[in-house]
Amino acid sequence: MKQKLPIIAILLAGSLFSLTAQAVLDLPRFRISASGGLGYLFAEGQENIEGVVSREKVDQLSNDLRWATLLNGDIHYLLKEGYGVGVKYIFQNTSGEAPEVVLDPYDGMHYIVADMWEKDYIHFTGFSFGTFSAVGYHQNVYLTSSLSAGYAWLRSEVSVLGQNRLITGSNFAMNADIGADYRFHPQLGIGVNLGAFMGYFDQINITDGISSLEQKLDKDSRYNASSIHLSLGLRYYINR
Amino acid sequence: MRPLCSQLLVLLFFAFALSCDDSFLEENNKLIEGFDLEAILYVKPSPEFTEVSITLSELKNKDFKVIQYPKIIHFESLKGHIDESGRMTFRIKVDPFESDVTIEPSYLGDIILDIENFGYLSIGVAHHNFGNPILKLNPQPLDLGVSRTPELFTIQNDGNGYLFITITDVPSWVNITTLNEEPVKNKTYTLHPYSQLELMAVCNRENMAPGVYEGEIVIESNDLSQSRYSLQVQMSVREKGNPDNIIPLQGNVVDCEFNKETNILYIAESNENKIYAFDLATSTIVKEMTLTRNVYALSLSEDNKTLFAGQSAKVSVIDAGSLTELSAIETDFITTDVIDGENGYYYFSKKEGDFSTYFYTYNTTTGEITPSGTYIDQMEGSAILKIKHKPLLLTTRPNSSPNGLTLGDITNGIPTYLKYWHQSFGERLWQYPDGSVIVGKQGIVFKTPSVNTSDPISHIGSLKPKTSSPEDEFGYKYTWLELSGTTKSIWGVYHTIHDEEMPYPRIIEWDINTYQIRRYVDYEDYYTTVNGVTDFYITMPHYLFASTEGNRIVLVKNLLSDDPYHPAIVSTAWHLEIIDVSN
Repeated sequence: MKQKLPIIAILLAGSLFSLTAQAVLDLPRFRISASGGLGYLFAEGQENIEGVVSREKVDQLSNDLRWATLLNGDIHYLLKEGYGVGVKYIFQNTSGEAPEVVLDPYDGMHYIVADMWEKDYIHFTGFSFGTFSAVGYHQNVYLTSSLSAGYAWLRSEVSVLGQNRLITGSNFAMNADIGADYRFHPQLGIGVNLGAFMGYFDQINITDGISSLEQKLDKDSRYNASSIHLSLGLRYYINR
Repeated sequence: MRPLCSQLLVLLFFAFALSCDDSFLEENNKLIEGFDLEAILYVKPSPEFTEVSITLSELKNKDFKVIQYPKIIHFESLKGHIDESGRMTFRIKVDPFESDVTIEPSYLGDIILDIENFGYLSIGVAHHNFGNPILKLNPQPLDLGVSRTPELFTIQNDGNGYLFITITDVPSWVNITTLNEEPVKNKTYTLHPYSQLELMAVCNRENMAPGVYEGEIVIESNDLSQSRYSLQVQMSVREKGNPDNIIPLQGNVVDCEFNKETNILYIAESNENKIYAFDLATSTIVKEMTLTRNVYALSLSEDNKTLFAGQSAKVSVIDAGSLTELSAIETDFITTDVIDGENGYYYFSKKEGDFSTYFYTYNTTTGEITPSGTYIDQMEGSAILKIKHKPLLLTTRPNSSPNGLTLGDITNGIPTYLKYWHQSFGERLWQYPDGSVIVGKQGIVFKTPSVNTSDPISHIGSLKPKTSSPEDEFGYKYTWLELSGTTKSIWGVYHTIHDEEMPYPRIIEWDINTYQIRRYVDYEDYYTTVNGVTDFYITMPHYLFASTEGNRIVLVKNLLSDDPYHPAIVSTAWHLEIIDVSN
């Protein structure tokens, strides 16, 4: 529920901008956006991982996994009224590694040392609804917003105790963002976006390359890929 | 601008494609072999990092990393490198941990190393807590002297721990074995807390020149205070021949008496039926006499002036000073002992006396001989002791069990039965110089009995052959006892084939008041010819007497078989040995 409030706020803000631009702007027909940036996964991690002795290394790994690199692209068909529809693609990647993590196998006698690493990839594709409004004296600055709903795919590569595992899953996901474009050429611009991605994966498939296991995760252990992200990118406009 | 868009799309495609590479899962299919190091890494608590090195000659120039280790161990680094010589080193410290004192190592876990291009190597980790053993040697030093018999010595563990000992070096002229005669050199023995290992040392003097030889027995152990002990050992090789303190005797000794006032030893031998008077002061036979009949016994009167020679159907009364026969008493039996009652009567023990007649009373005035026995006057026993300064006889049966003890009054010459105790004290009795205490041949000590003495007679002491010997109601087997008032000693010859620790005869001195062992006295082998072979032979002391001054003892000995378990006399080679016991 907490995650839904920022999205509603972003949509409301975007609507206001679009209403302002509706009266004065002659928007391009298509807007193609490609951006890259950083994201931060705000999901709460598990406080205590059973059996981990060198907690600081695992904590560091968890922290590293919160920071994501992000690529996203979208294309919108813009109506004169300042609305647009289109499709959006987001690629989110997080990774981290923790060498020499000491684990307690609870045999009462030993510790086990293992190198741990994890690489998580999220692919999101969805339909997008956006608003665009021009502001400024030259009408070359656009305030933008978009709300996307679609499907996200998780691919998590994990290595623990020398055993590598591939975890995959998919689920419905959403993204919302607001931004601003600066149109320095009739067909080109640069833009910045601040957005929020929401995606959970509770139905996963785990494989070691030989056998696979379908697993349903409960609410407490499901993979939460939700993040806030800030990206910067190019904009390409196809005019009317 | 279109190319730019295309490039962006390609970039996105690559991002997507790179995130779809499953090749990393193939690492799961790698088969990593595991190996166990045959050696164990033994650790103990250490607060500082300590270097541990293991040489793996077949693994050179390889990196390794630790993937498992016992919880109590801390590695300074979990990675390392095996150098060109195959030496792998790592530094560890070990947490304190509790461990019991046990002989078995405590398993603490395994270190598993992942070695580059090799596999997993497992190294067992254990701890030994053998406690705090303390090695002690007894005796130290070990003087084997001239003895050919095995000398016992012990390696003791006087601590609360397990002691591991290995005898690594011994002189070439000594063999060290267990009591089962198993060689011990270079074998490791485990001694539990407060236990001991008893060993035998036997000298091999073959082809060795006469002289004194010294060496050391080296014992390696896990005694924390001293891991290497040296037991000094010494032995002597004698000149071929008997020393001056050994005097050969002719014939077959049948009995001896000793005059403590003059230090004259009287010896009766049965080959030529002679009596010798040996002067301890000069170590020479000063007088001798020949008897006309087969001699069986020799007795000395209480005043040391008269000798009695028991013979076949005759008793000779002999002047002890001149060794001349004073009178001859004809009997119709063989006399094995004569007691002068100091009352005008003599008491003759009969050989193989029985219930009918154990001994006879001889009236020196009338020449009348009167028998005593169970059915005559209730006097039982042919071994007779006159209690000093009292007109009382104690008799005991030498050849029956129990020996019994009979008290008789000789105030009127003919013994009058007073009391009988159905107990065993041995086939012969000795009394203290003042006559207050009696010691039986079995080493049981009791107050000289009177008619009021309780039945049974209470023991007031016991002569034990070893300090560790248990109390034994029936005492121990002594061949001879001797009491010395000068040194307040009781001397004894102890010999039994049933004592494996002490299979050969031993001379023991006890304190006359406490009955505690004062010392053991060694005696010599006898150099003589037996069956054409001239060599040193083990001897058996049959009689022991202490000199008046108490500074010497004289042993009357014969040979003993080399095999203590078959101690038959193999030859007649009687001799005397005089030993200085003043130290």
